[in-house]
Amino acid sequence: MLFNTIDFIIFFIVVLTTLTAIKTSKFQHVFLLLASYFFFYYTSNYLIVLLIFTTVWDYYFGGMIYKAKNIKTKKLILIASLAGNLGLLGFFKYADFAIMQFNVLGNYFDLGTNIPLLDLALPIAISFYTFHSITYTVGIYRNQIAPVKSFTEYAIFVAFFPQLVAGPILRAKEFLPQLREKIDAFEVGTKLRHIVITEANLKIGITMMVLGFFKKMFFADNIAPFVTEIFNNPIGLDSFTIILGTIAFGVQIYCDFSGYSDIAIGAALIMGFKIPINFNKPYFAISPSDFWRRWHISLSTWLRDYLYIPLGGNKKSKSRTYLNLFIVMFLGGLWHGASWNFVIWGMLHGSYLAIHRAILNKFPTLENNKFFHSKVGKIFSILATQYLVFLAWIAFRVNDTNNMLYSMEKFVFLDFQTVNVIPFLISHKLPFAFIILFIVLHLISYRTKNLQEKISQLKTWKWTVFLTVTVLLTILFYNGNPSDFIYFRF
Amino acid sequence: MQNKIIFSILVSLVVSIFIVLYIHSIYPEPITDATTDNMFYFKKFDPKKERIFLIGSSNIGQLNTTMINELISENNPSFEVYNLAISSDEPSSRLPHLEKMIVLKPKLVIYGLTYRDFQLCGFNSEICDAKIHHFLLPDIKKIIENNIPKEIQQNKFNPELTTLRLIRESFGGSGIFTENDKIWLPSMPFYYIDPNFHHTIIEKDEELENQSNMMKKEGYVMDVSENSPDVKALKTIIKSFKENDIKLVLYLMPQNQQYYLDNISEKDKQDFNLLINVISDEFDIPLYNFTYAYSNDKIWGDTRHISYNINAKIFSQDMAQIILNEIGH
Repeated sequence: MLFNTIDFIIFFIVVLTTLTAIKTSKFQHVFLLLASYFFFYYTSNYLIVLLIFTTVWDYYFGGMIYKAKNIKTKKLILIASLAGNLGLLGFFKYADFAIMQFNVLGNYFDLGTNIPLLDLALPIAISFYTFHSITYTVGIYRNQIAPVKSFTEYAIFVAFFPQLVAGPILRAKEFLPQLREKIDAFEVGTKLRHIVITEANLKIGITMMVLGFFKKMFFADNIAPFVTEIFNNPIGLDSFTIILGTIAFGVQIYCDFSGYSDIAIGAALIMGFKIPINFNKPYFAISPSDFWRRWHISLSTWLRDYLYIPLGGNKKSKSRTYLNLFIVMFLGGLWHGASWNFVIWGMLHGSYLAIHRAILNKFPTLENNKFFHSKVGKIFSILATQYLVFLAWIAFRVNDTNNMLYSMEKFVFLDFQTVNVIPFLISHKLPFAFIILFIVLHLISYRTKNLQEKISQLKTWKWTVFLTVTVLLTILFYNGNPSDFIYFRF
Repeated sequence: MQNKIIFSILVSLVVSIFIVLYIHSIYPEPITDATTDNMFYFKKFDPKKERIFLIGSSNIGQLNTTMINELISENNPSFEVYNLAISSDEPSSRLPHLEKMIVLKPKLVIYGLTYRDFQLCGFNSEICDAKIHHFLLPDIKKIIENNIPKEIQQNKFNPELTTLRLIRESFGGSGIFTENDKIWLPSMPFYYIDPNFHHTIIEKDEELENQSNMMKKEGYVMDVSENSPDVKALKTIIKSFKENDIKLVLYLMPQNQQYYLDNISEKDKQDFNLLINVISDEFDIPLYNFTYAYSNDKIWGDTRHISYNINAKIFSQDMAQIILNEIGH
């Protein structure tokens, strides 16, 4: 179910009303689970079987890990559980990609390999719920959490509808305790929490949701056709047009994905669940590592805790650290989709992180250099970082290799031509105005800490004006056809 | 206090919707199918002239109707040709026009068809994916949609069009936001010509190649089974014309060889041809197969459309000749 449809609005109102009407905590939780399954079934139909399979699989394996007597047995059970999770993800998401690569390679060596594709449906959200679920079994293995008392609780954690389709990626140790009265991972004997809609949560939740809708429907959806027009056929376009398209895509994907996250976080908060933030002004990052502390935070921290650290992190040699960074980002790219452009995007970011770390290792004084702490130095760092981030966005957006290489070449080696860019701007004034407006608002939000909280603390009449203006602008530029969120396909 | 918050939400929604509706009442949506629909079907036609309709999607829209009318009137001035092409038309979406066309009693209807008319889903693999794979269990969304009256579903409100109109008119004098140079012809009520796009013949092969690669990569799925809504709709249309003694001719749209036909699987081609031939025989209606007629000519505006350009006049001239054959000249 798309957030930006009337279907979701009706669904959400019904869920809130019913939750308020139900007096027993246990029934509230059962209803929340059923609502989450309905939400998923609505768009994914029979693929809900995979979600339920993952849930049952990890629920039982979690219990087995906890009960295992020695660490060796625990490890074996964990490996079996991960094999199930990642096997399912790999099969549904990457099988055809692997077959295709095998066929290409076979043909390259004249082996005449032509294995037919499986043509499987890509289950929506599988990358997200697989990662959610892994945090449970690994959490038990690492003694960070105890197994849940009931299947319903675990199933709610995996299928919790606000974040089910595109995150933020939840951690079992952060979410499961929220289902209980006492917020303590090991206090499993405490009562189930009664879901109450409080005034503070309602106000800030609505504020976040409205801002999320605004980002998605006002900015992202109105900039998307502009980006498509440039990148569907970029060959022959001049450098400035490519740069303009890249900036536009950067704005589109930020508004699209952070808009989704805001709606998810806001919806969860209204029901009293705290989901960690996923974005923190990423376009003001001053280094590649800073960017990943601000962009898709739930994924980058997941990759850090469940991949980078187990690989050895920075505890081994310097060269191993660089390799680990590269491997993590390579897999992070592949996680986004079975396509070479995502792999290239991941590898670019892996290289940025490794090179950045190598520079800091080689010149340790750079970090404390006065210039980089000055205003000009900060601006320089931001611009340099964003130049690299936006270069990588080309790989993310353009999946045709020739088009991608052409666009990247034009982005790096400027041709100083204006043959295309001026007519393009003249015929696309409105999307261009949206990009400028976004940059202005983004700058304002950078200077204002905790913007959403501040808005929700406004006096009621001022808050009503804020809601009216935001809702009005969103509706005025809505074209009647709700469009998918970009991250739905991952 | 919670009531205050809910009240604020309601106020903001009511005020926003009121403003949007108010703007919409001052700046109604520009011409849409619904409005031109009525304007065309209820206009006064010359009683001395007999009507010929060309129906189909944008491929038919690229025919030069003015030229066709000139060529026809040279032989028989008592006929006038109307090009009723609609962008992205398919037999199922043509159905609502059926009764209104029949009332106008055209002498001849030429229906342009191509592979795209029977596609299950468009040039987007994800949508295809969803349509093919996701219906093993009852589809709740579809069940709900089926229970919403069609009039409500078809009357989709597009506030963006109203807003853009408001912006254009507000900045009209300054020339900052101007309308595109769309050309609406009286003989072509549902399809416009954009000189910046439709007039161009793409000479550079790489541009067509790029579009073609995109199509190959994204692919599409065709459904020519008996249960296909488009196959059913096509049969209904043919039957209705037959029952009302209106002559119908099927015309298979020309396509580009390298950049379109080579991307269609042999199976799809065979299935499509079989379907059309069976229908043509079953209902005893003439069939003109122009699929390969200009497949290698330099007259293409993109991978799927012949350009609306004087250098592509052969397309319209041949259509005029078909009409003349069918009306007996």
